[in-house]
Amino acid sequence: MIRTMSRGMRRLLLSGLLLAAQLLCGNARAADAQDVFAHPLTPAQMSTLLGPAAKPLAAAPGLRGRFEQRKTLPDLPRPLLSTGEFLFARDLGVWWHTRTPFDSVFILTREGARSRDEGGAETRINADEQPGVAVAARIFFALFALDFEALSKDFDTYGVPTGTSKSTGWQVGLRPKLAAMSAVFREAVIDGTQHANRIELRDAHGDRTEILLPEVSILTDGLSAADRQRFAN
Amino acid sequence: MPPMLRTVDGRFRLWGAAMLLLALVFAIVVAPQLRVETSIFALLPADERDAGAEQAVRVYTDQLARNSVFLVGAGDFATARRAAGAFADTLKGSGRFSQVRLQVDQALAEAARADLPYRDYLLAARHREWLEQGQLQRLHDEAQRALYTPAGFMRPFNAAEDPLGLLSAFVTGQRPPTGRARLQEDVLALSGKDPAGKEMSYVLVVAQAGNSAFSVATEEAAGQAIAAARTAAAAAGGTDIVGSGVIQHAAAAVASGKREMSLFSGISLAGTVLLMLLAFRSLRPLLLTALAMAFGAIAGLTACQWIFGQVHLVTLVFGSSLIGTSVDYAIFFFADRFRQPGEWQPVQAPDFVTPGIALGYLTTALSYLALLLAPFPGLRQIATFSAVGLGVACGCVLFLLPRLARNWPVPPRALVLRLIDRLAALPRIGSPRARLLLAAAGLLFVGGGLLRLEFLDDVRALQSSPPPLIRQEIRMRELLGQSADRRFFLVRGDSPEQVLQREEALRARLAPLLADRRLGNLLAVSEALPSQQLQAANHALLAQQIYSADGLLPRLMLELGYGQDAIARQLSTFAAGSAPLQPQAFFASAASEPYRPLWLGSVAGDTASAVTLFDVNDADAVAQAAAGLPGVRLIDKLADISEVLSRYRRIAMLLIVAVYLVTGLLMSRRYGYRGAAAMLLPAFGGGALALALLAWAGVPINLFHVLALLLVMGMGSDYTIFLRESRSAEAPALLAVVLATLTAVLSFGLLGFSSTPFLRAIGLVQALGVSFAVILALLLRPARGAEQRTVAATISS
Repeated sequence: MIRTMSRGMRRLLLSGLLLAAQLLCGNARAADAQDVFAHPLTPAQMSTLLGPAAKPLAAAPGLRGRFEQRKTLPDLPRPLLSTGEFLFARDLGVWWHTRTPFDSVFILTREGARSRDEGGAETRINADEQPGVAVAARIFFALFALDFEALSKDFDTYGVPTGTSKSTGWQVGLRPKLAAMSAVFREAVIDGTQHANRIELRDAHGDRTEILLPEVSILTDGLSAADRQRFAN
Repeated sequence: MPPMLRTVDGRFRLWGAAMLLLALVFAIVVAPQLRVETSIFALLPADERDAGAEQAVRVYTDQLARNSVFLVGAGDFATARRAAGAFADTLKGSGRFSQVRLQVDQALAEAARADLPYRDYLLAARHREWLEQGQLQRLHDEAQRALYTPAGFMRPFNAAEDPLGLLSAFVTGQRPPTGRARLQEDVLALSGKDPAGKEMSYVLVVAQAGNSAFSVATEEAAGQAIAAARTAAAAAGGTDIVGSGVIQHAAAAVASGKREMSLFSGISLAGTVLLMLLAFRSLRPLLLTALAMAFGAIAGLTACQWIFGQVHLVTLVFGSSLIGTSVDYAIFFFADRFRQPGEWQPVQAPDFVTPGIALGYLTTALSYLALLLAPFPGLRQIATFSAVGLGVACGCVLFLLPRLARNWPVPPRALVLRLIDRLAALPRIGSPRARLLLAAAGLLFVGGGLLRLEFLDDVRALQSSPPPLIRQEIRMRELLGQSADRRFFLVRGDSPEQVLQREEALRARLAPLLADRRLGNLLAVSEALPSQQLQAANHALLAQQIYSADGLLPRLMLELGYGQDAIARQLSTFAAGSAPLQPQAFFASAASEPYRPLWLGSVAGDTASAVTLFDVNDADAVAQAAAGLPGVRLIDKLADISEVLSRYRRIAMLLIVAVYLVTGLLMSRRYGYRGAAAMLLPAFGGGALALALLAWAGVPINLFHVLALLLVMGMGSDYTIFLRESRSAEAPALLAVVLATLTAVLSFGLLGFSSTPFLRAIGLVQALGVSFAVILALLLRPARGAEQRTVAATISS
């Protein structure tokens, strides 16, 4: 459906989505991102904070939804925007389909990462053979699974509840323990409820990547054959 | 002959003085700097064609030998991490390893950052190809993908530092030698199955032995440190510890070598002592024999240290069995006593025993010296040690014993006297018909054996490690998912720059093989340190296609929405210039860590490096890749060894024929042609029977079996000479020969149980061959006249 829309329409829709996402995460936004790092959490505290909220996800085979990524670079006046859809399957990996500004599929499995472009040419990202860089893939994985136990091995963890009396929101901060990792990012802030809604990665050189995950649904049944096919080589 | 040497006293004084001097030199000069070599490489023949290559290969293998890799495993990562910590701390605490690496996080981060100042000169092969072919769109798309999709998170450098991902690709293009291991927390870890098939977590520990020269002491200490570290890791919960590295094999070789040396020499000595006491019923002959053997051993060690600069462990193990040979001369000397049990005068003994002992030594020495012709340093040492040691022992018997020995009373009913009578009554095959029958049976057996003879010229003939260590090497390979091949490329040139350029030419040839997995991986310095020539070319490509006013970078930046000033800043930073990466800076940086063992530096006037290969699936294609490249050679030590083993096995077979001819000619001067042939027949027959027996048993024959046949000739003909030379008193000679055979078979038979395959081969052939030779010698011994009397009768008369 989106394909048939004019470019302007798509832009409009996207900004609408973005707005909706920002409203959704209003509470998280309200909490100053700097603040979260004032609240270190032990892994046990972390599971108390997230446990009840993440319970449905923990039992589910995966997640699917839309994403919007905004990358802010120093000296760049406007952030770089990309949107698309994603599928996270606990047993397979992350399928990340960027639709704008160009069509590209990024697939991350436990075996490694690869990219497929519109033309169909597939590139294996050979970083997974680098012992240090491979960490990034693992962390990406853990972010979607909300596997904070796995994350707490690679990161110092921080967190605050952001929920109102009705919803159970939370904000978590991560700082890499690993020098190899901090080259890629210095810290991460994740806002969520039942799953991550917003992920912000900041690095030491003024790069900032914000990923919004609106319209996320937790999969209740197993993956369809078509969905499984997305991960096939 | 100088007057001094004419008398027993004169010879005694001269030789005694020489021995004292020898003992003094040994104690003061040789013993303190005695170096026991354990490396198996020291046994191997040197490359005769290319001495420079040989030296470079040695430098490389020495460097590799210092590295050990361990995987400490437990059911879960946290326990494995803790156990690996205990393991690494114990290794470090031992002081035996100059570097023990467990935590790698910081180093990996530093290694990646180290390239940053040289980014204007470094390009991945893929990117260089795109730039050369003007395929800028692909680079553009790749950069875009990194900015808009999570692909960017998989890069070691972020977009601000490396907008086009050029440096990221250069760094990630270098594939580390640690296989499947990945950074987990701050260590390298992998998951795999333990021998029982249980899923385990393993943590990698890499250790480097200190820079001191290899020696038995350091290897033993390193082996003990590793054992202690294993205990510590096990105490911390590590249930499966897999180790790999030359030092463990060396430590095992030292341990088994020492064990064998003390066991073999112990049993051999005990057996000899027992036999001598039984035979001579007196302590004095025993002590004097020990004296001769001790001087022989000291002389052998001194000669080896002086000629080779070290003594190999294998020589010592072999030497411990020489006790059995050197004792022969003393036995022969003391057996002379039974010539005239009552009135024997030691000072007169030389008149009777000298020809036998001297000729016996000459033939033995001749066969050992023939070993010197083989290019195996290990064998040359054994030959030198034996020829010198036996010579000195022989001299001691001939020159010292006549003065030091005393006659001693033997009770008339002594066991030995009865034994001598028994021996004298041994059947002899005298009739031509019986001899013909024996010859026919022997020929049938030997002929049948020779038809089934199989040869196996393989490094396995030279080296073997305990099976548990070999299993560990295999498991290490499986767990890491890759293994360094035994083959590697040696690259040489007149300067570091030329070596790097030659490596690049080689890598270009190997690239297609890497692409279709005919070659799994390679590690080469030029991957991380491109030649200055290539760096200059990279810089030119970047200047022309990326950083020019209409280059890819300004275009992409414009597209992304950067302002003109930001673009201008990027271009002017490049234009301001930077210096390329130089070898000196590279080897001082963290980025060079995995590559340092490959850089051999200046060797024999050249600069040399090694290119390591992993998982060679198509050996022919890999070997072909270097064809026609100057300064590049594929080194395959094992294939070289097999080739040398087979070549020298053929030579050794000819050598045997030559040694028999020379010995025959030598003997013919004393015994005539027929006599000489008759003297050599038992040794020749014994060797042939031993060989045939092995062939019938299905044992493949290698160089060392053949060389042992040479030694059989030397020892076997000793015994026929002893028998022949004591014509006038057969019984003592028989006693001497039987005693000597027993001690020799005892000590060489023990070698047959050595864990060193080639000692085993030599020991087996020797024990069998000498036994057969003596049986033949006894059966075919010359007929005796009517004057023969029993010794018991002589005493009682």
